[in-house]
Amino acid sequence: MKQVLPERITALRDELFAVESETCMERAKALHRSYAASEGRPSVIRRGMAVRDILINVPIYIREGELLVGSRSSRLGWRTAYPEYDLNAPKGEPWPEEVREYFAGRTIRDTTNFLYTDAIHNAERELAAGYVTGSGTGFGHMIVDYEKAITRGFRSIIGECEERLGGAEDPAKRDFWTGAILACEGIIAWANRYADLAEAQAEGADAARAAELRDIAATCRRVPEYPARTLREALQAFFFVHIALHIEQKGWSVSTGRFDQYLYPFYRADIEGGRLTRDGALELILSAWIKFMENVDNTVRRTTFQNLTIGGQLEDGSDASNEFSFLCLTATRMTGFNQPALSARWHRNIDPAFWRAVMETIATGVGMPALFNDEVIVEALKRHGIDRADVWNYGIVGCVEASVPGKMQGMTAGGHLNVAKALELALNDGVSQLSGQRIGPATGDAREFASFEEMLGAYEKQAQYLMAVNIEAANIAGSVQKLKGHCPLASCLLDNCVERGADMVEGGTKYNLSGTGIFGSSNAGDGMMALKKLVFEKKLYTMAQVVEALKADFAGYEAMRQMFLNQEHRFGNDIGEADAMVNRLCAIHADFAALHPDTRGGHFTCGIWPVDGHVGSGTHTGALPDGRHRGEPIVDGVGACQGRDISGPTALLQSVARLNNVEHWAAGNTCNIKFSKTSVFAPGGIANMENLVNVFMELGGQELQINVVDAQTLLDAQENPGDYRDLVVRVAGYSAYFTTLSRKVQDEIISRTEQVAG
Amino acid sequence: MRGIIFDIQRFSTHDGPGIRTTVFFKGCPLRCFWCHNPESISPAPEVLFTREKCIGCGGCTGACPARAIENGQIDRTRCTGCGGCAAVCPSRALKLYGREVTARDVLREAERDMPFYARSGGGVTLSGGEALMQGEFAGEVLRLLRERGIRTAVDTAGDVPYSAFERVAGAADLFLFDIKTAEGWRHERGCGRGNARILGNLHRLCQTGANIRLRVPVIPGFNDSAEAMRAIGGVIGGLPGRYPLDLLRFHRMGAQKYAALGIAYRAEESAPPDDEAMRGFAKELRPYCAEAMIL
Repeated sequence: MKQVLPERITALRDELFAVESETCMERAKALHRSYAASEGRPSVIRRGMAVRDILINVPIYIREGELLVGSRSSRLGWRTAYPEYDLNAPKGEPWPEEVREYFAGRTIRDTTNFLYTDAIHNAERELAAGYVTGSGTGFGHMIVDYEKAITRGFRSIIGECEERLGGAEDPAKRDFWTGAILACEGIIAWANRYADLAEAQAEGADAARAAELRDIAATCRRVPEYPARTLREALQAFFFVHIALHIEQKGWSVSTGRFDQYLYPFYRADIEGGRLTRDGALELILSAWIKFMENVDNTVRRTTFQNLTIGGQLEDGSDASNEFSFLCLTATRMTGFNQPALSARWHRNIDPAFWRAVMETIATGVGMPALFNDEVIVEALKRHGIDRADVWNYGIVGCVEASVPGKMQGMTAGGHLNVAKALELALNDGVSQLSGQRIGPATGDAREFASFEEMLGAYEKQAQYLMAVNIEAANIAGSVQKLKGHCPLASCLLDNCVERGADMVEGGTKYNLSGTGIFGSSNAGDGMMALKKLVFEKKLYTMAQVVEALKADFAGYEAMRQMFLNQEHRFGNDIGEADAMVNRLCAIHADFAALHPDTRGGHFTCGIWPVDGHVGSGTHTGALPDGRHRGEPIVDGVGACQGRDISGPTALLQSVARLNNVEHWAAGNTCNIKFSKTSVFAPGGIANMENLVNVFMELGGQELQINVVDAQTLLDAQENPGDYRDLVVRVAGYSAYFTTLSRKVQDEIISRTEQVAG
Repeated sequence: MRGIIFDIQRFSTHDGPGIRTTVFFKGCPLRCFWCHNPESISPAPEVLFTREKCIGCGGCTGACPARAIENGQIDRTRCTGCGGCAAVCPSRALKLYGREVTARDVLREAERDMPFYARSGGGVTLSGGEALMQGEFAGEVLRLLRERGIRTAVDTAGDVPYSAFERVAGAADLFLFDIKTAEGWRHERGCGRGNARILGNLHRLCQTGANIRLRVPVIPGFNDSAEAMRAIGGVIGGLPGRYPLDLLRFHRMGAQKYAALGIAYRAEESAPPDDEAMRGFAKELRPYCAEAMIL
């Protein structure tokens, strides 16, 4: 069913999309004045004070036609500036002179860099490990307890802090509650400023808009200070919190958790009370989608990774999807926005009508929702200490990282590890083939390796070394956050920070983990399989020949490269031995990570969320025995290497489901498949897609995202085949990689796609 | 016993209901000029050469016992289809189509996607080539699949002795039966043989109460007219029941394979019929069948 966007929403969207974004310095200036005045006081108090001072002082605006208000910057669509984190990101930021002078040399980035070891710098330079979230930003990557903010209000939270402060002697705790109260007062004052502004604007507005503005004013007087009573108040409270979290810290992947769960009671009460129609509710949700889009920081790949989770289970295991879940899907279908990033939780008892609506949303080509398996994720989190009583309520953070709303700082993206690079180092005694510098330990001359076990031993040492470097980097960054990265506002909405009187950067949250992003597991697996089969078993080549060929990036060794590329034991083809190799290699870093504590009382976990990092990491990775040339992208998730799953999607998904998802990938992983519109809209196409997904989940797959691409995308793939190596299209009843087809066949597929799409 | 097949394709979605695995049998009695699987026609193994993939290593030349190949250039009069060249080709520019397998081999491959069949109502389709040219082998494969609880379909052009149908009749859940044209002379011109036996077989198969889905390929310059469709309608209208029907749009996806086999592609200049034309043909046939779908 095609629905037309309300005019109000179209106008808000068009105005936003027309903005030529620049940097808004209002936050930076207010923060600087606040910091200058709070010199010498404990960090958590300074941070709470800064939140309050920013929210009281920065200019605010209300857009024509808005129903929900609030903005990070003082001008629509402009970037917000965070001088306390990093003066050099983005490059060339026109900082006011006094701001630059004040923060130069004392940003979180400066301090972290100062503490970083040479080993970390070396690994980061080649994107082998490191690049820790929190090294020049805040942690971000969390789901706070929005429900608490909506249903309790900040006045009550202030009351709790004051009560605890009254009877406490521990100065550290007193500091936390003091900072928290300042931050909470700030957000209340900020909302009241919007109420004042709305009232002022109502004076000159026409009757209809004046009524809306008075509603806005009344809403902002009420929330987030006091409990919300209607869906509109709840959504407004949500956005005051959500946006203020982005003002408090420079962090992305601040995610909503289970939006359809905590907002549904308000929706239902409004509908039943006759206060709201379904269309009225949809307009509010579309207004919310506009707010998510406004909150995009376009310095970070034009997204802020605001993930929004729908579906899944209730505590008793029954299905959680409701009318509000459907409305979220509808809003994404209608807007086509990439924010919020929708995630849908699957379980065996999911409502089939909801799941079909999920499939139909994917089929529009919007690339969402991403699909998550409750059964796997719940088990994976339990292994890392999350209680059964909390884990069922998980939501997705950022790309694919599961977190417990309001109880966990998972610091996913707590660093990265390129295991394809680890294989390169193992083949070259720790020396990078790109820089010629030693960045790993000496593990022996690979030309002399006489057995596969020796090769594996070298790989193990390199992978563990890089993981250790990463852990060191993450813990240095974590210590710097403890020093000056406090987030008292977020901490008020994360159990048990208020109770313990400890900020989340100090480990105040109930659950703490540090996720490490792994790159290139399939490249490492395929490369090791090629060595095992072609060198150590079939003896087609010696290790000396292989090492020479890799050094030469296969120049003069094309036949060997082709043998590596085409050897049949490749991950993603439902070949048990190849799949087992990837599991064997991943156990190395997953087990190692779990043994190491982080700075907040948690430990390290592993996940895969390359976003587009597989391209950059590939640039810094030498030739590998999987047949990949130096500099080519590495695999973009847990799938097969680009173009190497030659046995079709059922085989690919069986391989991916065979990964030790529970044991190795608690921090999430991602498997991408792309379909052309032709295949999805063929008779039975959506049912086939749904069946494919459901079986994948039943087999123990963790996550799946499906892109359904249109003719325009196929044309782009013809021009830029390198970007589309994983694009599967239907060729007369079977799947093939688009970029491997001849131009003529491609043209024919494009013409068919247009026919169907048109 | 052993049969010869050239491919097993997983996640086939157009050869019967649900998610399926299609087993392509090698060998076909017909010579349809539009055939999109030219490697299926000969019952003997054949080597296909994809020039774009060749890296010119020369490995094939040395590996050929019949001295029939030089850097991918195959002398088809000397080639015995032994596949020695393909075995050493690092880039898979040379690939052998046609391998002898047992029914158990086929079962083992087919079993891999069983969870997907169960969920989607899918199963295994025997196609080709003409699967029923190897009727006894096809029957054995179908029986093994059945025993394993896998639903089965046979995709056939029907130009085989009826005894071949009898060999598989008890073990096939569905027949996908091609009707290319109603007119014998046209069939002979386009496919190399008349269609009397095909239509006779279809009638007899219908009498057995078999589950049948008709398939009409729409081929430009051959049967892409309302009259031709009405004539086909006449034939299926005369069958003892009303059957569902798929209209299959002509495509040129097989063009590369003709080049790889070193033979001429006679449908090079034809263009696929557009959506409107396909809808028109479906409308012509609809009165004569249970449903008419466009694939």
